[in-house]
Amino acid sequence: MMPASEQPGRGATALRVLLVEDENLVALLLEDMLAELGHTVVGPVARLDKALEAAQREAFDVAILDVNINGEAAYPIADALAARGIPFVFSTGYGKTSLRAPYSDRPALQKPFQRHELQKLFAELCP
Amino acid sequence: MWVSSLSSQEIKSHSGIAKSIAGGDRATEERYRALFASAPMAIFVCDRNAVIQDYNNHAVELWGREPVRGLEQHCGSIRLWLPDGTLLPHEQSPIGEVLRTGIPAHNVEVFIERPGGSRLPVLVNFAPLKNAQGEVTGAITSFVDITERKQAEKARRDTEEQFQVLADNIPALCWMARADGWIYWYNHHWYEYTGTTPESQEGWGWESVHDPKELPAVMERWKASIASGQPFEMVFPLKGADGAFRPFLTRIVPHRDAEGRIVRWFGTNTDISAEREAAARQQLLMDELNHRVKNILATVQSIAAQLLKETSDVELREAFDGRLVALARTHDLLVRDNWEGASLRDLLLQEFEPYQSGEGTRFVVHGPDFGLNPRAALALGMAFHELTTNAAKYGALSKPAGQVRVTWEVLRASEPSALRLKWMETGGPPVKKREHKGFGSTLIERGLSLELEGEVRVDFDPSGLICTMEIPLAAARGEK
Repeated sequence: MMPASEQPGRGATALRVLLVEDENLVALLLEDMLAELGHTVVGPVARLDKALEAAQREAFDVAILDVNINGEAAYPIADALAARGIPFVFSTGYGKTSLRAPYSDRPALQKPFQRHELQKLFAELCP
Repeated sequence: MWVSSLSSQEIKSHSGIAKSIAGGDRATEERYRALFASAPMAIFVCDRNAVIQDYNNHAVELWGREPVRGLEQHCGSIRLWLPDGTLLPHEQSPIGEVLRTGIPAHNVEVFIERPGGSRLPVLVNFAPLKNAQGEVTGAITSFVDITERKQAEKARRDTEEQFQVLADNIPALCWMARADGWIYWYNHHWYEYTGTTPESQEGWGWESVHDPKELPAVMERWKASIASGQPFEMVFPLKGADGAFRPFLTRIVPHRDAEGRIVRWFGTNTDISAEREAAARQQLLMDELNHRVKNILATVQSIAAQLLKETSDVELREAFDGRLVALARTHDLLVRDNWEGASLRDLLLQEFEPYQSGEGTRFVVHGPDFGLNPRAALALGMAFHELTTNAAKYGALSKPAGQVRVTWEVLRASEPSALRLKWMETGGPPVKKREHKGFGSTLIERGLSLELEGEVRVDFDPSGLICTMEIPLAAARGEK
């Protein structure tokens, strides 16, 4: 049984999710999880420059942003998303307290992933 | 050049002698003779032309010769030398001036050359002799050997020089302050690093090389030390000659006199930027490592997900994910403490976190603070995950009123000393003994016995599952 507060189930609306992730297998995992939850994936995008373009131009409801893309920090993408007012979640292998300001209080999805955590975060960001 | 320190006692005894000589009657002369012979200094008397009339034995000792009375002038020594090493011809001796002006000369330092060529340092006092009319009739000269005093002075200078060399060569900045905190000396490194001048830094001038934001805190603590006499230790930035601030570890200790009163403060400031950078690099490496490990776990998770896609067993996939996550979170806990270990309590609370109810009554965790080493933390982390998941599926956590109680103690009397932990579930559904051991049991029992040489017992007590484990202390304990 799942913990009481996080029962599995489909999300309320189908969301378009921009996925920024440079590791293929991890991207695959997220794509599957998102599909199971009824959402559509925009991407995945594995390069920082392409991700920035997508962040600025594509149409989507929420983004999952890997903190580290090929050795570079992905904060510029976060800036672009924040500027557009689009909600996003960081996906990270670093510990909980490592997000840089001004994003230190932003929601983070820890690797390895948990379905219910992803669901909870999306429910909070896109009610 | 002529002046050195002279005690008031010495001045008084010289005037005393002069006065005795001035008096003329027989009794006085007797006294004069006795005084002259026994006085603890060398004395000679001369007339207004500086011709030596008389001298005592001490004078003979110091001169190393007996000058001809009534013939030799100015001084009974072979030769006189000045402290700077130049010759002082007898005719230029201060006695001439004293005889001419009638004004005494005090504390003149000269070197007497003795037979054999050695030079003796002496301190000389000249007093004029006057008749009833006030005319100068002669002079009385007294002198003392100051060899010992000069040796002591040299020893002190050598010590001071040694100290200066030491202070200027230790690789830290250092300084000395009066008891009230007023700094009166900095070593060479201080001026070199800060690029300042002594005039600008003395007293409280060092404030100029502090960061204005940090200065109030530093000042508060320094003043508190001055008031309490307690040693001071603090890290704060100091500005270099290049304008850049670097972190310095500052230690200040008081120096007390025989009565325990503080007479000065000694302070050192050591540049710790290298250590700080090393620590930061280490932290960066640890974070990178953690990131790498988690990415690998996510990759494994993905591979398994692909394989398990064929099965529609959601429970299976979630159980698998759950175990990976437990592993990852134990890893996080270890990285947080730079891989030194993890607290047993933190490990349990982390595992229970998703199941905590609002009132916090589902879990009772009780035992002394215990730091686990990384190996033990990982093994126990997996075990706790299994127990928790099991409790959630079949045990106490599957019912709202169920409770998990974990207690532990350190047994030192046992041989070897051990960590004993008990996991007790209550308020769950009736317990059924499982027919075969699942992977969970294997993880718990074998994991702990193999990796930590622990003994594990799982009791399927009807009121609730009880798991007891006893792990040798050496296998469980971390550094802290």
